[in-house]
Amino acid sequence: MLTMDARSTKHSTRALFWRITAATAVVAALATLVAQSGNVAMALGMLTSGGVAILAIAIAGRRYRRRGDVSTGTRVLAGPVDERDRRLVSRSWAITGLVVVGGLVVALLADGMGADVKEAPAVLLWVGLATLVASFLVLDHKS
Amino acid sequence: MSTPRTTDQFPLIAAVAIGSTVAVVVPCALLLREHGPGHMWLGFIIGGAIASVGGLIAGWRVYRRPDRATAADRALVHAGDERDDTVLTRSLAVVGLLALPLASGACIAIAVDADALAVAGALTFALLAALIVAFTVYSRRT
Repeated sequence: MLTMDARSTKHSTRALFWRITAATAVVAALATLVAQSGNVAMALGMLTSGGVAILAIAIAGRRYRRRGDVSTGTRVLAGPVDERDRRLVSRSWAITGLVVVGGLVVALLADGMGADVKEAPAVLLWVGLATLVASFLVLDHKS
Repeated sequence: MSTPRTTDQFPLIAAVAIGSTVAVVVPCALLLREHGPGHMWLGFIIGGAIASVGGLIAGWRVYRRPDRATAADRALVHAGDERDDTVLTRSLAVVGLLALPLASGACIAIAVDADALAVAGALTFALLAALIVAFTVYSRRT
């Protein structure tokens, strides 16, 4: 019979496996779609960045299984998370949502004033990612 | 612990809110009148006015008729208790979670020659709709 710890580790490993599999499938499907439209360089960029992200999740999972006592960021990437981690992640995503929606409104206004908004979603994507990481680090440090 | 709200706070808060809105909307509308297409500036003023009236109604309900105020009213005027804050945070978290994959999708759509303005507009309204749906669902569940 499995103990609670063994069950939790088994569940965590299975969740990590499915997380990595799903991420790989999504990145591969999107990269194929982009490559089909003729943007092969962009597809290669997507595969590279997706590969780096998947590698980060795998390393976080390995660290968690081996060391147990790890940082909040590692727990969030590899799971399982506790109540405090969940609250931190929720608040970080909330700040990201506010920033992206605000940025989109500014982009639409800028378009009305004659600016080119072709790059706006790409800029907002990176701003959103940076906001997510920065707000998570600040909230984790504060709480 | 939430700060007690008194009805005599409402006129001051309403005046500050209207002042701030005018300070943002009027310069933007003037810029749009100079540089924007057609009557976009007029639409911008009307949109700002409708949003301000909505905010005032919410404020009036929160400060003058607290028994009738909904979670959405309290969230709109930042006068919510701990439960309202949790609902708002979780709803905005849904928006944040959706924003990154949708922005990636928008980048891909623009890369395959979709109209950038239409994509940015659709993305904005999709995220606002997600916020309203998530807020309604979480507010009913908790």
